Amino acid sequence: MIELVSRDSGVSLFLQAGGRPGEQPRQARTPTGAPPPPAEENPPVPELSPEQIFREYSPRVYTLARRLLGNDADAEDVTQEVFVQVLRKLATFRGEAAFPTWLHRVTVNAALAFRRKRALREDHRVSYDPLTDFQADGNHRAPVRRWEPPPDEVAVEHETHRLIEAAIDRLPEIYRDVYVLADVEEVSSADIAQMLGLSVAAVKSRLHRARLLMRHALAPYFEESAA
Amino acid sequence: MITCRQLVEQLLDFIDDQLPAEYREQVEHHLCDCSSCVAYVESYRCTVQLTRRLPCVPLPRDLQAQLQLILEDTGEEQGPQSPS
Repeated sequence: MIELVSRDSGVSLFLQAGGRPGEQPRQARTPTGAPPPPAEENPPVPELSPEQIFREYSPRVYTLARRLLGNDADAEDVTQEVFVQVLRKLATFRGEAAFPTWLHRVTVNAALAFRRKRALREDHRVSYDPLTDFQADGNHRAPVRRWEPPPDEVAVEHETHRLIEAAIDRLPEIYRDVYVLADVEEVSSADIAQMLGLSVAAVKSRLHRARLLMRHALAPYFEESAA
Repeated sequence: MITCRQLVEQLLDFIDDQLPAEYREQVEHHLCDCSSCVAYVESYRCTVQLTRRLPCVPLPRDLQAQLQLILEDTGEEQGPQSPS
């Protein structure tokens, strides 16, 4: 087991020996349109008709694009782009079981390419630094209150989802991308590293920071009232 | 004994059960005496669990219509095919 300490946040990370935390996957090309998947990747055959792909996968593509890009209009554009790509390649697909993974990759590539084309410079400064919650001696500045998990009622659950979506939208992009892929889509750190052109250590560091920011954003709604 | 800050820095690996035994013991030992860190760890886990329950966002109607058009156009280009 190898211990790394992130320069970004002081986070300690442990990686399995034999992994390649420093290896940088090939960068996605800068596109004029959506980048095609790398030539050596054989798109897997989903054993689905175009209609089935539309019904079963288009909501997932839209949802992922929406969370990565933070607005409906951009997500719609990317969803259409991805759908066209998938349908175009459908006739030449060869059979494998990894279609959802491949579709994730295409969607992420399309969303990141769209963001680059949009060329909006996002302010990466974070208004809150989770590590300022600690004193110089490393102890919490103030007692941490426990959370009361929200009850399992439809109306409350809808409100909880709304709060979480809003908190995700407010995450800086470099943390949002990793958070959405890891904790919403449950993609492995290794796959995220490949998709985003990062090391596994960088993925884990950003994921941890994203979780701390999300925790801070949600705490006011779920903390038990002070006694 | 590790500090609260050091514990938080190791949380990701702790909840994913990827901390080496020696570090895990230090974290668990700290949790025996620190109610704030117990609450912090629980809320960190809760954040992840709540996020994992997020549903798919419904497709906007306009987008559904656009995708349906693309589907129909693709069907016309490729000609009649037997359904899978």
